Amino acid sequence: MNTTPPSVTPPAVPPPRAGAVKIYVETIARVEGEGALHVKLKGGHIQDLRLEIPEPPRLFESFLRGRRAEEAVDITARICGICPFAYQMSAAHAIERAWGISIDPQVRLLRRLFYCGEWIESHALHIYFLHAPDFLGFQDAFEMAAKFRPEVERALRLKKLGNTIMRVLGGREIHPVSARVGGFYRVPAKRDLQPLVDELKWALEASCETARLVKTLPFPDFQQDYEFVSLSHPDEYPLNEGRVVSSLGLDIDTAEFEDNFLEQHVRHSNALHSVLRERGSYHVGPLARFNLNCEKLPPVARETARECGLEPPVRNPFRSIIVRAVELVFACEESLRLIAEYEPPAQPCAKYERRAGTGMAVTEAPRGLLYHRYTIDETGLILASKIVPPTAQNLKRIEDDLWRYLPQIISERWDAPVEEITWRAEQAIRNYDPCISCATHFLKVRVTHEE
Amino acid sequence: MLILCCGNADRGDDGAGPACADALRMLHAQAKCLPGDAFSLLDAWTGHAKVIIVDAIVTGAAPGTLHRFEIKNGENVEQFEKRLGSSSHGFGIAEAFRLGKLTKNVPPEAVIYGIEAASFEWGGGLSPEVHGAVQQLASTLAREVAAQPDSTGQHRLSMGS
Repeated sequence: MNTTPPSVTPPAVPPPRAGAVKIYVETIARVEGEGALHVKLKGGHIQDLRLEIPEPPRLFESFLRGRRAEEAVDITARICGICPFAYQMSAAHAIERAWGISIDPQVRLLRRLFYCGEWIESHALHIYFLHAPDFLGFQDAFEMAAKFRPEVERALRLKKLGNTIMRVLGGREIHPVSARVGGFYRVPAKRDLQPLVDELKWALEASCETARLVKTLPFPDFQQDYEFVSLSHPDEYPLNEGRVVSSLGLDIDTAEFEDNFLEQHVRHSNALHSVLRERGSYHVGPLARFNLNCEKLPPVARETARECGLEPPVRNPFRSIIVRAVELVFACEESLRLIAEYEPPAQPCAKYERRAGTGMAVTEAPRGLLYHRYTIDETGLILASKIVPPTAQNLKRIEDDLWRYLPQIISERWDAPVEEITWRAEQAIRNYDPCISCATHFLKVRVTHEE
Repeated sequence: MLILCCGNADRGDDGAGPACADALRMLHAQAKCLPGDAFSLLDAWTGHAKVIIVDAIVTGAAPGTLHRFEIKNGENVEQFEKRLGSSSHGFGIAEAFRLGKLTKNVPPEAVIYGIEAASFEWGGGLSPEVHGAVQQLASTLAREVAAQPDSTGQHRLSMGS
């Protein structure tokens, strides 16, 4: 066995597929996390495949113990720089449930608007800067920007709008500070939201353009029989509340989440793998939300989905980029509706009393379901907590996709160069917009041939 | 002249940028703190002719070493990129210039001050060498700001006068 850097031409005889090929994708550290991919192929078959997450455990669940329950809203926001509000919302809703707090309908509306801002900035970033270059054959978004300047400018403006919504509602773009248990510390006046309207009207059109652009990308022919899991609300596209449903008939209250889903530790990953009990891996995120709730999309988003030829169930994970664009349309359309309906609540925050109890909540982060549970004592301190992020829920699913997708690439083209297999594996990982996706754009690849 | 200080104050010497902004404020000069990602930089420098960027850097030099890079119209960002031993940011300063150049949003005149970092330990604070370099840079920049004519064409009083 010898280790060859990628610049060295693989030996001509025997061809790579005749022997075993080991693909090792090593990451450079990123703030959001580290991921590495190991694949060992022999004769077109995978012998070993591991998506390694070597990032040290962050132990949030442990150090929340003994803290005031209200603090969970700000502490858990620090888990993610891209979707801090999702963490704030799952935490606030879970604690509100434990304490029996009902929030003002206008507070609920504002939270939904806040969440739309997060979806806009996160989806715009992923569609244009992380995922589209894969389909267009560019090394990265900068190479793409040279040929697609108006599109990249559009992406920057969309992302900026998402950030602006976060700043107007949360005081700042990253790790906003206005949300709290029971509502907000401060709510905006109606006039504070008005300046967003014109830009949102532009963004609605720009999102439709985005969908029209990404629907024309070349998609690999790869369909999987997923179990899709998402929130479901009687009359809204899922965001901040609902029941947890699946494409195989699961329909549960969020309080029953842990009876049905199990987190497993696997040796090669410091992120846990979530599975459905006795069923295995499942799929959360845009594809799941769309497939289980597309009839609840508002008119423009629904029409855009139709125009893009999206018919549920969409089972090709590469087409998630189109679904993300449709959700971008949804988030802009929904924001406009919410701003039109907004009247500042009489009180920014509901009155409540601390008491002993347990509360669970699920909200829809841009990447999928985010579950929080808190057990609180009678003085309001956290006794135990559990956080199940979307990326942990998709990790096993990503590995399962690679187990099936890589042999397909090789059977289509037995002499595909290792670099191409590696690139397509990364593209498949990025279908899920995992928090490690930024890191996987800057990977060093090592290939080992075994004769 | 716009001063942008990048970094995370909770991450050891990555706090060089925010510490420089604090020191500048003490010297009555304004600076803006940013996380340092390309998107926030592009947003912050839109419409500015001259931009100064302060960030921690790792090139392998002695901790506290001050590196200075002049970038004109985003043209020679490679000389800055080449000096980076490693980058923990996906879309950072270099990418902001590259993207800004492509989308015609790049300051005509920019200077990057990179302060060589020793450690990025969470909650670690600045190492003494970096702290010294930050103070020195801040007083240089404050003098530069004071020497700038304000909107009325008057030179601001420099500190101590």
